[in-house]
Amino acid sequence: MLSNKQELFETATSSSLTYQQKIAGLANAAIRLQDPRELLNYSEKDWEFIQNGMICDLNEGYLLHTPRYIVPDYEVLVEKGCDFLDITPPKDLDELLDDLLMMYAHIPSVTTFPVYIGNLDTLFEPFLDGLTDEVVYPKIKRFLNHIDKVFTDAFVHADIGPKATRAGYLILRAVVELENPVPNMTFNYDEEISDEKFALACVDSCLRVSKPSFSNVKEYTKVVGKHAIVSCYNSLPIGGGAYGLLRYRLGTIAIASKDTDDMINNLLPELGKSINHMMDERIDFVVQKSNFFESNFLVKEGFLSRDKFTSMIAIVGLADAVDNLLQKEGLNETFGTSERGDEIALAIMDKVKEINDAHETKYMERTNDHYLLHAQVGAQITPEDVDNTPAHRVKVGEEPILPIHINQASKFYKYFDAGTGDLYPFDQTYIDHPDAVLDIIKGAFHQGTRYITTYVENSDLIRVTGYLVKKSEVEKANNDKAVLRNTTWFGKGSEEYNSVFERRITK
Amino acid sequence: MCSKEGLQSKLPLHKVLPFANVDGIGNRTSIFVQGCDIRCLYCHNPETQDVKFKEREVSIEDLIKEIEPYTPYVRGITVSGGEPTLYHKQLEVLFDELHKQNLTCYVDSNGYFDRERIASLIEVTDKFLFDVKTLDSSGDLIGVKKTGNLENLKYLLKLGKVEEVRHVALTSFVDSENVVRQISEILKDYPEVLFRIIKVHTRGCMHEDLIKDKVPSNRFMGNLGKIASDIGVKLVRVQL
Repeated sequence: MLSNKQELFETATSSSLTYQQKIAGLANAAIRLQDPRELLNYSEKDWEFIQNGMICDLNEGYLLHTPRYIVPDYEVLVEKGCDFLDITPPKDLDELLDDLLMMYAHIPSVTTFPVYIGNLDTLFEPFLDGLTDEVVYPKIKRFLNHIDKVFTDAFVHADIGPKATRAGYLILRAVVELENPVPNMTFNYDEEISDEKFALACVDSCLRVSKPSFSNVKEYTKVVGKHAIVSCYNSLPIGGGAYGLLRYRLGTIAIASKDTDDMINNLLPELGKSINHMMDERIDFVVQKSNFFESNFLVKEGFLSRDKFTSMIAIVGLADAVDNLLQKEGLNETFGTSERGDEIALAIMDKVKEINDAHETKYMERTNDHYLLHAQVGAQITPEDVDNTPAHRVKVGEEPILPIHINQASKFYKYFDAGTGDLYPFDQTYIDHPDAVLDIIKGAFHQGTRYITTYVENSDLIRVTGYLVKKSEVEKANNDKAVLRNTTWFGKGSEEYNSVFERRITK
Repeated sequence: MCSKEGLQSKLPLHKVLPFANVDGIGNRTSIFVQGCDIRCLYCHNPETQDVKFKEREVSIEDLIKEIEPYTPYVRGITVSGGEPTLYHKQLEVLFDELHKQNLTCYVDSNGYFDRERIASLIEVTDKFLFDVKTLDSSGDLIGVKKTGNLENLKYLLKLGKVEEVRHVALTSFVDSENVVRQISEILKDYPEVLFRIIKVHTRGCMHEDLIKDKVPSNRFMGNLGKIASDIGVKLVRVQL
């Protein structure tokens, strides 16, 4: 969407945005002033697909100055320090924690906040030698609380695991005590490497404060190599990241399709050409014209390198697309419980994959010259998102019982090498039975699930689509009061449109 | 019973609960059979008591198919009821088949079975959840005169086939303190077996009117837990 003076005016004079949110909003509006048909060689057709909502660029703008997802290799900081920030390699835990906080403030991001802050337990663990838990714990807790209050965006993501460490246990303890939405957190779980006791502690924490989520680290390593889980649950190369993300709004596309065959064999190929063209042009601009890779200290000092970047083509609204097409086929069924629905869904995804497989592109050596597919969540406050349920998720209220639900969802993970995930709430009784939840997670991973998260009903801190919000903060935002965290606004949109707070509870 | 014939044998079924987190360690699928040989005053599933009433009868083969979508997410199944040992022949076939899928098979029993008669079921059962209702033979609590449950418990413990022992405590109809003492004297030698002492709940139970003023106080319950611990039971859980 192009911006205009009116949008700048409204942002500047808003009564419900904080200072930082206004700065970020104005910066975003500024890079949407120029028409991408001139700036990025978008065709009229490309632009039409953005305008009519079939392709979504997440309002990322056109005058691109930086890749969207930056996934620094923080081990470089430990080894070499950082010249640009005049930091020498940390000698103890205090220095490490300070150095990391200093680094985070300089990591570029569309949200202005880093989407990846490191595999925290493995970063901390070597610095714990000779220190007791009593000494270490308050430091870790303060560090995590600092992040929540300064990097106020639930797409700020930390990883832990797969091995159990003392640092890992202390991080979990702090996360449970703090009950903060930030940072988002993933446990890279590998049944063979991760200690069972630590996995159970992660489940316990997840049930209480909705994090960490569980990632099937072995599966993602197979397809992405050395990676981190960042932002919502994007699996991206460490030391690089992703140039950008464009998404097919499948629910919207289905509305414009005559029938299933028309969507799969006419519309998707045409949209595929455009989505690939737009992504190619955007990356050309970032790599060739933005001077990011020539000037940014992260690149110069080895935290990032250009050849470790990929880019993402995403889908959203598979459920809505399928429901629409089922209706056109005269079937009174819905995605999640319809056999024909799954057939249609798999045919749509096969086509999306085929289009992606057929497109070789530049600056993409890290992922074999191809974009990675991703199932996108992060609902936005636009009317179009009403018709587009996150990722390949079953609509809230239409979920089958949990085992059937996981079986259904598991069929789709294989497409999304750059990440997807689902969330399953449990009732209060599971707090006393993390072993039962771990059984379900293990089973889901065996069935093909790559990422799973959960929470217990009635907690204030809950996962909306891929990130965490406090219900109490959403209420504030609904009353047009300024709130600390940007993502509360997305949560607000998501609650209104997808009633995700009412997701089926497993009894 | 030959296997093919066994797979066709019918089991009176009350219901299947895909996921249960209270019927043994981990996540399990619970299968409730229809029919019971006792009539507990506080029974919470009175509709499962009648042996003749058959809401549903399924063959073992169909039951295995029915639970197939759930099995990737569970360690095994727990057969509850009703009284599962009434159907020892059918369950033997079921357990044999499920063991082939690496699922563990538990039985939740009141313990009033003839162990000679159900010997082959015991053999294929991984663990029992053993509910000691009472130790007197008056029939005040369970509606019929029965004995032998404590001997059966000892027998199963020796075989290493008990995961937990339960007792539902009341202030009347059963001498709960005596039950807890006797069980504890046995369990003190089995540190891996959980002893769960549960306060009776009246909501939805069969004879609410008879039970409602026989609910133990929390202090009473705490005392039962202390008795068990003092005697030397390692794993005691009191449920209020």
